[in-house]
Amino acid sequence: MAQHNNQFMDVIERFKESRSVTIGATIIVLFCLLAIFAPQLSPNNPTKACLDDRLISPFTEFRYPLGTDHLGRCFLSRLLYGTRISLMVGITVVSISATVGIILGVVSGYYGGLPDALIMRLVDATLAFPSIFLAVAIAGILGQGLVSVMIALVVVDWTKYARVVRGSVLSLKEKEFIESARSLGATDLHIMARHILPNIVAPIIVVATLGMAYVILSAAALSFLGFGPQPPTPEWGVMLNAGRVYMRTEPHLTILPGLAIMAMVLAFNLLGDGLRDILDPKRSVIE
Amino acid sequence: MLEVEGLTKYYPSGVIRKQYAKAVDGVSFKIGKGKTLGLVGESGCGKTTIGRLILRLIEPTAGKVLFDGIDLLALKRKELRAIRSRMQMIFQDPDSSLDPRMKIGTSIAEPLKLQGATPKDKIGQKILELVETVGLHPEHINRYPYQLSGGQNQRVVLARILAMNPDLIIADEPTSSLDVSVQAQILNLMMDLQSTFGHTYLFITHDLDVVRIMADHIAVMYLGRIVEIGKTHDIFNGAKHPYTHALLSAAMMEPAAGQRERVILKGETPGPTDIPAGCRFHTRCIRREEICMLKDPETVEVGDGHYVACHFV
Repeated sequence: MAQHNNQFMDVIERFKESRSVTIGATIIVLFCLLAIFAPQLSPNNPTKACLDDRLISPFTEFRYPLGTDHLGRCFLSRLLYGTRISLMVGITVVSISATVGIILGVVSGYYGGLPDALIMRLVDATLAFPSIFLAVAIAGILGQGLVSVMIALVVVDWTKYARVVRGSVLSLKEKEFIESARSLGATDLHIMARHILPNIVAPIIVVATLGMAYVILSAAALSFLGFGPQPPTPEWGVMLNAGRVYMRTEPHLTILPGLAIMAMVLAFNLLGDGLRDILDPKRSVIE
Repeated sequence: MLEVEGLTKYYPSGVIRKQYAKAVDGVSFKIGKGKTLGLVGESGCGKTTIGRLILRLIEPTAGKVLFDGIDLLALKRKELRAIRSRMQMIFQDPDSSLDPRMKIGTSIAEPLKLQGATPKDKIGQKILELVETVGLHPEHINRYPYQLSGGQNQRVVLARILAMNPDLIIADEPTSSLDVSVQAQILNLMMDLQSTFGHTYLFITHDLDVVRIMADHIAVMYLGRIVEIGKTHDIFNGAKHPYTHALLSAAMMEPAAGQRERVILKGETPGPTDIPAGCRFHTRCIRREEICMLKDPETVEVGDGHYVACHFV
C-alpha cells in the first residue's frame, strides 16, 4: 500500500506544480461549495417576487446585496441557486454521455469491423451538424425545459467520448498484455473491463473536464434562446435573457450572470488543459 | 507434442492488383515433449508470425497445427479457449506484456482466477509460491510493473505462465530487450523450469548464441520458409545451406571446428511481397547457379532429422 500512496502523492505533487490546475480546481471547488450551501447562503427566496423592490441596484440595500431584478427577486440568491442548476446539468450530461460514449467507443475499437463502421458512421452523422444547431432542433422537438436541454446535449456530446475512447483502444489493443490475457483464456468482456478500461481513464478525465465547460456553456446558451427552463427558475442563461431588456439602466442584470458563466467555464477549461498536460505525455498508456 | 504442417499466412496487399505478402509460406516442423526447438532467422522472416499462428492469435491462411494430436485450426472459439491454457507465449518486451495499471500480485492472480482451479483462499499462497519459483521477492507483489526492471518483469511474465501450468511455451525473443547479464539469468531460469516441469519450448530468436545453449533442434528461416532444420550440434558443425553458413559466420562465435571462412551476404533481404522466383534465397546466395532462378528447391533429408532446402546438397 505504501507504493500506492507514493504514486498518489506523486500525482498530487504534479497537480500543485501546474498553475492552471490549481486555479481551475480552486474555482470549481468554490462553485461546488456555493451550490451545496445555496439555501444557507441565500439571503432571500430566489423565486419570490416582491414588486415593491423592483430593479434595485447592487450594493445599495442591505437586504439585497446584489440588488433585485425586474420582478423584485433577490439577485444574489438567484445567482447562487443558478450555480446548482449549471453544475447539475453539467454533471448529468457529462456522466450520461461519457457512459454511452465509452461503451460504444470500446466496442467500436475492440471489435472493429461492422460494429466499428456502424458506430463511427453514427458519430460522423451527428458531427455533420453544427452541434448547437442540432441541440436547438432537438430541444425544439422535445419542447421547452431543462430535461430537453440535457437530452439534446447528450445526443451531441457522446460522440466526443466515443471518438477519444476508440482511438485509445485501437492503440491499446496491439499491446502485448492484451494478447497475453487472451492467451490466458480471458473472455472479451474480462479484457475490456479489467485491462482496457483502467488504461484509458486518463484521456477520458481530460475530455470529461473540458466537456463540462462545453456543456455548461451550451446549456446556458440554449436557455438564453428560450429552450431551457422557464421563469421563475433561476438559470443563468434565462436570467441573462431577462436582464437583456434593462441592459442600459441596470447592467448588473446581464453582467453578473454572464460573469458567473464565464468564471465556471473558464475554471473547467483551465483544469482540463492542465490535466491534459499532466496526464497525457507521461502517464498515458499511449507512449 | 507439437506438429506443424504446411503452415501458411498470406496478408492481402496491393489496391489495384491483388498481391499477397507471404509472411509464412508452408512451414513444417515437429517438437517432441520436453524438447526445445530454436527458430532463428533475421527480422521480418516470419518467425514471430509463426508463434502467433500456432496460438491462433492470428488466423492462418492454410496448414495444420497438431497439439498432442488435436488439430488446433479446426477448433471452435470455446474449445480453443479451453486448450489455450496449455500453450503460453512469452513476448519480447516484458514492459508491455504486463498491464501497467495492475499490481504484480494482481497480474499473477489473473491466470489463477481465470482458470478457476485454485480455491479463492489459496490464491494468495499460490502467488507467493510462484513469486519464489521465479526468483522474485514477496515485496514485489505490491509493486507496479514500471517500478520493476525489465528482467524482473520478465520473471513476472514467467510466473503468470507457470500459474497456467502449460505444456508448451512459445518464447518470442524473450531476452532480446534485456541486458546481457540479465539475459543469462532469465535463460538459466527458463532451463531450470523446463527440467522441473517438463515444458516444451518453441524458442524464437535471432540470437544464435542463445539458441545454442537452449535448443535441442534448430530451424533456420528465410523469407517465410524453413531452409534448414536439424539437431543443434548438426547445424553448428555441419550446416549445409548457404544461408545458415552466412548466419553462423555473422554470429562471431569462437571457431568451433577449425577456421571458418567469413561469408558476407550482399544486398538487401527482399520483402515478403516480392519473394524471388525459384529459390527464394538466390538473389543473395554466393553459390547461385541457373537452376536456382528457375526451380524452388525441395527439402531433402541429409542426415538424421537434418533437412535442407537447397539444390546443392
